Formats: sequence, C-alpha cells, structure tokens
Amino acid sequence: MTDRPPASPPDHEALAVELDRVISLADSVPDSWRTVAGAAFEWTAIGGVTARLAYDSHLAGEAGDEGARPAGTVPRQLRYTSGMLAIELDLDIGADKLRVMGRVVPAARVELVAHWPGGQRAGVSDDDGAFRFDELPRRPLCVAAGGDNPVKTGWVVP
Amino acid sequence: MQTTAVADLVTRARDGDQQAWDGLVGRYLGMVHAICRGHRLGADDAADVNQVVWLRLVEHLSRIRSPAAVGGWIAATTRNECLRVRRMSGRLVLAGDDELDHVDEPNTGIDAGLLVYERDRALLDAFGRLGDRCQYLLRLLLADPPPSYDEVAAALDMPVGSIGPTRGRCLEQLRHLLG
Repeated sequence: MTDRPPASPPDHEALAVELDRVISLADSVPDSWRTVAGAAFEWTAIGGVTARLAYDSHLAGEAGDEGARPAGTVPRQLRYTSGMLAIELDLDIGADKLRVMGRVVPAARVELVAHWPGGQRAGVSDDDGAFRFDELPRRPLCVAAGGDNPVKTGWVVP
Repeated sequence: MQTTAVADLVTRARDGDQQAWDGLVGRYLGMVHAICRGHRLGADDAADVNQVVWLRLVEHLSRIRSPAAVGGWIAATTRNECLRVRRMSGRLVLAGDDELDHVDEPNTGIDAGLLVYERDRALLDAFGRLGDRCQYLLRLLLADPPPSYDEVAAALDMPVGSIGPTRGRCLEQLRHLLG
C-alpha cells in the first residue's frame, strides 16, 4: 500500500474537510448495499468444488434463439466444467422471475440445489441428466450438484 | 487500516469467517460506492455493480495471491463493472444535478437542517461544476474509510504519482468556483 504524498496547502485541506462533511451528508452508502455485500458470502457455505465457467453466451455476445422463448424473457446459456463433469444452464430471465433448464454431463441422476442469497430449492436430474427449476426469484444464482464429487457453479447474475 | 490487517481479513474470510468478510465489506464499501458515483450510474445500475463486485470477490478470495492488495482488486473490478454497465445500458444519469435538486427535501436521508446553510449549498454547487474527473477523484478520496493511493490509482487507472498533484489542482479549481 502506497503512503499518501505530502498534503496540499492548508486552505486546500480545510476545503477538503468541508467537502467531506457536505458530501457525506448528501451521499451516504445505502443500507441495502451492505446487506447485499454480506449475503454474497453465503456462497462459501455451499459445498462442492468450484466448477470453471467454460462458456457464457452473454460474454460470447450471442443473442440465442429468442423465437423459442416466452415473450418478455431474455435467454442465456452457460456451461461450467469440473474435471469430466459439466453443468449446462439455460436461463430464461424474466422481469422478476427466473427459469433454469439444465443438464448434467455425462448424463446421470444427481441431486441438485439452486441457491440464491437468502434461499434455495432442491431438485434432481432425470436419467438423461436434465433438470429444471421454475419460478425462481431473479436473484444471483448458484447451482450445486451432489453425488460422489460435488461441484458448484459461481454466482450467476441474471 | 494496515495492509497486514487487510491481509488478515482476506485470509480469515477465505477460511469461512463471516466476521472477517464483514470487515472487508466495512473497509471497502464506501470506496465501491464512491467509484459508482464517480461513474454517474443511476441508483439501480450502481446497486447492481455493488452486488456483482462482492459476488465476484467471494469467488475470487481463494485465488488472491497478494491478500494485502485486495483493495486494488476491488477498485479495478468496480471500475470495470461500472464501465461495462454504462456500455450495456447506454444510460447516463447526471448525479450531481440530482443532489443539488434534492439536498433540502425531506426523506432523502440528508440532514436538511445542516444543508440549508448557504455555505454548504454553495460548496455542493461548486463541486457539481467541477469536471467529471475532479469530482470522481475527490469523491473517491473522501470515501469512508478512505482508500489507499494504490486503490485510487486502480479505480482511476492513473499513476499513483499523479493523484496528489491532481487532487491539489481539483481543490484549487473548487476554491476558485467558490469565489
């Protein structure tokens, strides 16, 4: 950490103090920001190895097949990998709700949990590895897969 | 806060200590807020940036090679996220005007009893007439708690050696605007 350079002339410092006082009155950090920042830490309590984000259609700049989607939703595809395992997520992002359709590769019946700050929902994939979570809140999302080698995704911000 | 204390918070948070995480939030939340304000994001966009920064940090904790430098990582991540949001939204909210319009209205969290003083209003007015870069720098330096110069440099993408002289010039401009 670098030390601060010598201070400016005294009148500047007095002005800076006054400015600090006035701005702090007019521009305080919203309480909700601290709550959100604190809740992010819940991710560390989710068990499993962190899977690597291998693909995100948002980062790739792809729009997706909007014609196959319900009106008013935004599609997004992601793929996370950990060793030989992959978790594919297909998100339909509505105004305040989120639908997740996904697949575990290689296909297997696996217990899954969708986590968001302050909540979670359990599910299970079918024999083809497919799973879905409907009507999730539109909040940051982490999907954790159980089994012999549990893994979790990073936070997805819809 | 000493760099060793920051490094200790990172190390403990990495081990699952919520109190240490809250310590990091307390140390850097004001800086994140100041960077968002400096980029003149609207309230919703700024809140989104705040959320993303902390979500990314919690994922990044285990990969931080230099825990004492986490503030620089937070500053640079916040700046990049602000720029990304601005690019995507195409929206630009002039926060300075909003402040001046609402400084003495009720329900804003502002102590109207203090801000009605003409001197305070004149100072806010003059601050709003500074260039964007000066407003950004001064707001960042006044964050509570204040970021280090390394963190400010990361947020502004400018050399550390330029921060002090630039701050001096900005304060001089502010003094002139106050007449």
